[in-house]
Amino acid sequence: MDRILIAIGLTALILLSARTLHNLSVISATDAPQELRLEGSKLTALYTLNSGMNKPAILNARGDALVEFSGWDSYVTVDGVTTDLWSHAFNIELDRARDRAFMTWSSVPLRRDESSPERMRRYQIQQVLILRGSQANVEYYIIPNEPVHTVTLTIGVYKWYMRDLQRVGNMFSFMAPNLTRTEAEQHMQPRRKTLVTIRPLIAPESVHSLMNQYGAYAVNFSFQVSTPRTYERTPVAIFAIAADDEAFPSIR
Amino acid sequence: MGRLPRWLLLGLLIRILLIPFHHPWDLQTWYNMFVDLAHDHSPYETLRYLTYSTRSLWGLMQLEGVKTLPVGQELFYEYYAYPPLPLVIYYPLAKIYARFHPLHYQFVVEGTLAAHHVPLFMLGLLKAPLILADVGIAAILWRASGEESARAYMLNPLIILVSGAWTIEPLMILPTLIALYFATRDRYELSGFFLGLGVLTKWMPAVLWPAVGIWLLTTRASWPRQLAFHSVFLATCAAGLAPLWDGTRLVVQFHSFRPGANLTPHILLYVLAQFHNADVAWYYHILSPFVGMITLPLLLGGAYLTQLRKGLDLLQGSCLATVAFLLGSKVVNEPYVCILLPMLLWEQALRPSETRRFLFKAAYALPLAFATLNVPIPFFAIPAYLQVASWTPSADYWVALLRRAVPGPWHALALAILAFSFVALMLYAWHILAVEVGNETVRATARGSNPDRHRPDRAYPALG
Repeated sequence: MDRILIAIGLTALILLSARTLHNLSVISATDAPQELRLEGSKLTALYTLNSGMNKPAILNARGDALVEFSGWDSYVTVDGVTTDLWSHAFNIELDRARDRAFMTWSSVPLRRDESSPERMRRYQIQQVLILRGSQANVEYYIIPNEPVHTVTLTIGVYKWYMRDLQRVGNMFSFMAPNLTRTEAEQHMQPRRKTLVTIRPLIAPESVHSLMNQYGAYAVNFSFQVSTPRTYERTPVAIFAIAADDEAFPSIR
Repeated sequence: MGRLPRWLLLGLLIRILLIPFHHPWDLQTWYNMFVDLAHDHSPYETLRYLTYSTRSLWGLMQLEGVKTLPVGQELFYEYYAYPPLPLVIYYPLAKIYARFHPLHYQFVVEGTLAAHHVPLFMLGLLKAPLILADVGIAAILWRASGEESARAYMLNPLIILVSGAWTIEPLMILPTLIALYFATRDRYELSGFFLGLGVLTKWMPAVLWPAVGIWLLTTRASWPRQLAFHSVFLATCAAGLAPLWDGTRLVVQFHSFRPGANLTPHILLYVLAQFHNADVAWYYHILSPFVGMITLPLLLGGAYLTQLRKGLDLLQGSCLATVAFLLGSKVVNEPYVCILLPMLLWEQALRPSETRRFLFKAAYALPLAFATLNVPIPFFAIPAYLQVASWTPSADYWVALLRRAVPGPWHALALAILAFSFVALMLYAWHILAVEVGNETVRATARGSNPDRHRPDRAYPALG
């Protein structure tokens, strides 16, 4: 009887061990794909990992890019030191079961590169994206690792090109054609267009749009917070992005 | 009122005086659990959100080494990782509180120090069920093993620290002890029900389920009665866990992936980090959980086999299963030991001996000493300080204070010595409970009502 029990126990232990080692290896593995996709019911968030754009790009159900959050042209100024987000180290986690993505930029490498590292504060900027039907919420938080006085975050929201760009207060709406930048600059005609609305849920300090000879291609929103609590997440910016005409019919 | 014993009043008074004091991190958990419940939001969903948020954080540990482990990334956020019964208990209290005060989440990032102002009223509401549970445990102990055991429980310093200022352990111990008491009184269905409630409060009493089952087998309880015990236990657990199965799965993942710590040999991770500059992530996230996965079932299996072969009675079997858990688990936080203490008191009342007395004293003294250094003990006063402070420093201030107060290498070595002493004590406890089983002295009252030593189900006289 004892031998049978021991044999059963050992077999179970070996099977459990193999499974546990496999699971642990999977969870701790560092994968390095070129891009990540978080697919919601009506919208998709596309993260291009080897480029400073698409942090993320939000696509509709047909795969048309509606807006792109920029890493190259988004900046954070912490106590007077300004750096674009793409120069930070970043990490991303997808909660696919809840259609959420968490992306964090850290000042670790910037401090290492800085000739006077004490100027560069220790902090992280976290972006949380939540897809809900035809709406995407994009939230930015600052997590200081040391006392910080002033944080200014400028987020560049891009689309080559935004047609019929309108502004009502801090809210922007435009038609997003299903064209790439090159196609749009060659004056090709889109087969379809999507109404996109960008609404900042925290009042920005300033907002301005960027234009060239082909039209408007970006809106920059600047937000500011003072003395965020150390080691805590302080919200800096929140955007509600709506596609089609479901979310904000009042500004059609 | 006049009939209440002084030790009970003293125990209550100490607990009431401790209301403003609390373990900072655990207080963050309980505070935010109140916020969740007040807003009808599942704490398991908050745990999920915080966990993914934590996984995305990068570079925090490299910058700070706050947790003294040079691990780049944490896999989980330590928030509400218990079964759902405490949520049911605290739901009405959170709703009452929210009627009078607005509630907002307060979280710091994983691995640092939580120092939040939590109003005294909420602390009172949080601790009221714990104090009541402690009184209930004392009452059960008094009835089962006499006033001396009840007094020793109520005035035990580790119990006071844990239930007065740390975790919800009494809410788990009370139903577990009731389950054991009912089992000794041949009321197996009630025993199964209360053991289920214990498991629905914290997971640990689950290790007693096989112990009770083996005891029923060895005492030759009738098959229908055994079946009734197991059915009621499983039905109670299923009824409690099924509605929140998704959250329960996440909590189980949290526990399975959690790296080892505290009163176990896994404390070596902390020691290693002090003298070794490399990233210890592999040891931390893979080796430690893997070792824990091996040791826990191995030691529990050994305990159940010992109980079966030696025909240990219910209390010995339960003590042995708990000791096996404390030996085999990769994480043994100081409060975990609390469940063993009332069982040891009961056991000591039945089979008094110097070794058992020593075992009880050492079983609370070592975790208490460990907590004193590990938390460390002055940090329990942070919530009390924040009640009256006009200046409320942010977490970095407390972290700097912690670093100055406890220099890494000496701190790690002292904790390692205490942890290994505790492991040695648990091995000794195994020896006392399993090997010296035939040499104990049975107290006269117990012996008098226990003519047949091979029928341990008759070995539990009511002493109350």
